[in-house]
Amino acid sequence: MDGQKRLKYPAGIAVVIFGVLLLLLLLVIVPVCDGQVETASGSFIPMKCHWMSQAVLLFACLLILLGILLMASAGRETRLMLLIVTAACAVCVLLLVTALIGVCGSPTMRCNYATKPALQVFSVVLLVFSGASIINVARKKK
Amino acid sequence: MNHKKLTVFTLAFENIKRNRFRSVWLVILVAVFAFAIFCGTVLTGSLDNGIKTMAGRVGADLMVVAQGYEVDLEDTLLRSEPSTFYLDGEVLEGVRGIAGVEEASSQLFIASLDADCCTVPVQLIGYDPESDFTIKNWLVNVWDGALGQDDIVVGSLILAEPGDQLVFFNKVYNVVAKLDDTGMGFDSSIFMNRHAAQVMIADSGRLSADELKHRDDLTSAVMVKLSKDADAQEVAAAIQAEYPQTDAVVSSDFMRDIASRLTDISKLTIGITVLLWVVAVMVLFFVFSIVMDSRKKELGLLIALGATRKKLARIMLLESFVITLLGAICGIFAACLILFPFQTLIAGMLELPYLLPSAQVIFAYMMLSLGVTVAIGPISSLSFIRKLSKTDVYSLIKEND
Repeated sequence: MDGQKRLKYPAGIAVVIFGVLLLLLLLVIVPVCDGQVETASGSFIPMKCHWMSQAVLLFACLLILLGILLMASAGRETRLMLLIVTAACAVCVLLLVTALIGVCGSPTMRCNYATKPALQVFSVVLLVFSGASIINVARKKK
Repeated sequence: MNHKKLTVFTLAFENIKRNRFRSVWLVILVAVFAFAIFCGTVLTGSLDNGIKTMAGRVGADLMVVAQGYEVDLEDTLLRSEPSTFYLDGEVLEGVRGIAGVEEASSQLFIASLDADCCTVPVQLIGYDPESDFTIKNWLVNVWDGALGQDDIVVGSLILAEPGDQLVFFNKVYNVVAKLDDTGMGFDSSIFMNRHAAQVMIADSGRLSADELKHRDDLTSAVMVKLSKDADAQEVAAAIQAEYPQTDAVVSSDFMRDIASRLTDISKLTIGITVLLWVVAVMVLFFVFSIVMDSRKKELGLLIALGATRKKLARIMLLESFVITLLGAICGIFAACLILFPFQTLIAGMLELPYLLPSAQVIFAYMMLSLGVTVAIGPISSLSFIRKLSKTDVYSLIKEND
């Protein structure tokens, strides 16, 4: 039992930290541009980096939830699945930033030179962490 | 039961695996130093590359600007901070008549308002293609056509590609070429025909001085090329004597001033890197020595069981090699995650010409940092191995008791 506890808490805590870090990145450390673009009708709407930020914020909340679930679960299969979902979250964040929504096009804009690389690096680190954790859990004997 | 053959490799890897805490901390320690060494080298190389590129692109021996605007010129060239400053257009003709001046060409700087390409104002530089001898020399690398009234060439950080159209002050301009990275203000600048820039100013109505607004000889800077035997300081003094309302900036002094500031930063970076390097060698040397020392009993028992000292030495070397290799790879990977995705942010924060070296040069830096870092472990282990070969088995087993 003690061995199981030792195994389950660090990964769960780390995933919660990743989630909180993602929140901090988007809200405090490297927020996206706060400007708006004017449409043909004359109204103002947020730029596309704003929508990317909203989507990624959801993944930050999801990561916190996954971390809590990882801390609460002891079963090997459950933990494995939760870690696979964590890895999938990392891939989704990476895709949201680069391909699915993306950031504003100009390299001189904050979302392009600060938020985008920060989220890319975050995703890569989270992916490496999840991969290592998956291998670690998969290698444990039933 | 699963039996493994006791080779040098299996023993070294098992030692690393079994002493996970010690191995992980050693890997982290090596990673930190590899990170610092690689980052320091790339930063120094990028600043060096930036200043070299800048020196090649200024191209004029003298730059004449309105009195007190030398700082604005530096901002425009170095930091892509858009500036709008003017001097009397007659200065151009006057400068051409001064002894020692071979060529002179005027440039017009305009800070744009918001444009489709950018959320911040950009620097528009109008130059005269007929008399220009600075911009066209390096513009020819990307485009060698004649710049029409509605044509513009954009810097690497401007969001537009050749064939696109951009609107400035309600007028549409065709993008005919895009420049390569320079690491300086030109990356956020847009080049256009001087006459078109003049028209832009007249149309914009941005100048408050009406008498200037309608003049067609407005100039922000006069670029001067000197004849071979001319002395830059003497010609600068002659220009300022003739036109006291101007500052004649000697490019070499201007560049030297920037270069000396860069050199100071480079020296600091190199100094910190060397210091880190020395600290890394010392710390790793002591850490490896302490770790090896604590294993005397284990090694003594292995010798007593029949292991040769040569084999033990190879195990020690392999262990330290694997640990430093892992650490160096992790450190350099972490450095890559910072240096390359954040290069625009780093350049902006430094406010200096920052241009990453070519991929080959970066690869060479990477190999150098990797090689040097990886060498520390085995080298640090050598003194213990020498000690091991001279100590008898009994002393080895008893020494730590």
